[in-house]
Amino acid sequence: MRYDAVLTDAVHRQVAGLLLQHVRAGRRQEDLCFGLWRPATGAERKSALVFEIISPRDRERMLHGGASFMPAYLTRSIRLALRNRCGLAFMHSHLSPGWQGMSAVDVAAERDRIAPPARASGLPLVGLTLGTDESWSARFWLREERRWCEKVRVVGGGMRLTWNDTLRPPPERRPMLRRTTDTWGARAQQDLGRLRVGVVGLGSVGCMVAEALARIGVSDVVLIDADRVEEHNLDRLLYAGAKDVGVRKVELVARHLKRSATAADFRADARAGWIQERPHYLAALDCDILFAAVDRPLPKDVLNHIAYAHCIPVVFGGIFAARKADGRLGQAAWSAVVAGPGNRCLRCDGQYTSSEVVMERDGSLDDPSYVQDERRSNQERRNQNVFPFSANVASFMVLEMIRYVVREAWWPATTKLHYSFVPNRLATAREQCHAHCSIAEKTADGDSAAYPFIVDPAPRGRLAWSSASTARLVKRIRRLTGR
Amino acid sequence: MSAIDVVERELRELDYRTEIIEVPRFGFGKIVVFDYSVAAGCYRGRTFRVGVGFQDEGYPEYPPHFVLVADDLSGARLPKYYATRNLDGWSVFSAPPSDFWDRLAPTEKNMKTYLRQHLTRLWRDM
Repeated sequence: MRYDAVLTDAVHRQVAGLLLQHVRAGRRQEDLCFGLWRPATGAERKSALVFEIISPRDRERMLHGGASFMPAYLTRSIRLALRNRCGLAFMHSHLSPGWQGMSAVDVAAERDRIAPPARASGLPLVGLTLGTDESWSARFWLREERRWCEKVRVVGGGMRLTWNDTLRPPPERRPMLRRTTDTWGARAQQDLGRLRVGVVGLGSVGCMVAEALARIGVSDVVLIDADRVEEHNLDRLLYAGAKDVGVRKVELVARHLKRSATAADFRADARAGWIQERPHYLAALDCDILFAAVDRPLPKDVLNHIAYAHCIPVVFGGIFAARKADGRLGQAAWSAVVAGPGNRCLRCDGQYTSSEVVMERDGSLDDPSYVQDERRSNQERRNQNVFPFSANVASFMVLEMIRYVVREAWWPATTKLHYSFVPNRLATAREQCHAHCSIAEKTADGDSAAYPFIVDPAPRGRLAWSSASTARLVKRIRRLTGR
Repeated sequence: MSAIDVVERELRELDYRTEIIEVPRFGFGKIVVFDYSVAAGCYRGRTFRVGVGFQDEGYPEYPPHFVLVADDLSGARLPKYYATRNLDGWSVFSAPPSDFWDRLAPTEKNMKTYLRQHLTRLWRDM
């Protein structure tokens, strides 16, 4: 199991404002506070999502160059953790930048004084240290054993990463990546090169996203798609030729990515299945950022849930093309949007509705008797696409991801790119969720906000070619016809 | 408590007499049925046996979209998405409240809102 800690940008700013107040005022003074965290568990990674800080009251902590807490502060914090059914986090600042180690005093405080009573919550203590440059370091205390986190992620308008170089060494500068590294700098390349990135949906857009990731030096890619290459894909699907019809898309893409990859230790985890199937859902929870190149409501909803509840940003891309009655192109537009804490969710952005999720679940979206259904014709319209449209939206999506990761504080935080082909117009927008968005309200809820439609994968038999909803439709038809 | 039980409880709290039944050829699980008095549209003043059904969990975040009516609605203008006029004596149609449900506050995602904002207009538009 690997370990990570995650803070939303809002929580990070609040903690940094408290713990670095003295340093910012020019004093060499550390500080501390307690906080609350919830677990987010993937297949191979457990993340602590720090969602709230417990600010110290008067006389609950003492400052003497270093900082120490009074027992009443610890007791109050543990009570809050118990009441909220979450874990206790202990955060303190150091007077140097970068990933921080621990002094003997730090270890004694966390391991011997805080961790034992904190376990009353049923969760281990998570300790975090903040450097003067706002870099974090973090560890889980499993009984008396310390498990260092691989990294700490701060997610919001961008992603700020602090790496544990011992557990995840930075990639070495490689000649084949010279131009890339020289473009955005070694620091950005070290972040990009160490990310685990998921691509959900390997149609025309997803394939090109994956290719771009491999080329820019991303070393760890998770590919999720259940479909096989079909003849009508061949005009848009990168890598695919006539001989590949019938081959699983993930296998085709993974094979080609190994040839394109520029990272020294490139790994492509090819998963033939649906994101709503438990093993692939859990694999997605191991990622640091996800690409959603899907057009069905249910996968969009799953990914939207992950973006907020698990604080794993999702870069979504969608294409809309409509013909005129005479068959000529009437309209074409595509957009790329980053969903995640602090940004607008996919549902509020109009990419799907919860009703469509229900209709996909019960097979209605695939029901041939929806003959007058405008949504059905919308679905057909969505499937109209050509290679250069896909190439452009894939490029937008990767650019949004790069921007999200390497962005500096002064860069404007754009969360949506929208291009209209006919008027040749590119627009950017930064929008927020509706006032009562229940998706955004799940931010940092982690495992406690269970997604309701996760399924265990069915054995791949005769219906292996089909989607889960289509399988349900076939079952329903059989029931209706008595066969 | 399953989603269908929550729907039934909410309808009972609105003073409807409810019953959970199975319509064998309706392949999406159980439905909650209750008597519904139409307030607007061409059926105004009549009372129909109405069923609300869906197979999934997730309510109220994910709203029901199947509405069943235990009467002949021939001549009525049914919702455009999907309609079966005679399934074991039920008229079945799909009517997702997709235009407003996701914008509701969590406390408003319930059968009271579903009836007031959604079912009322369905009957009004028939």
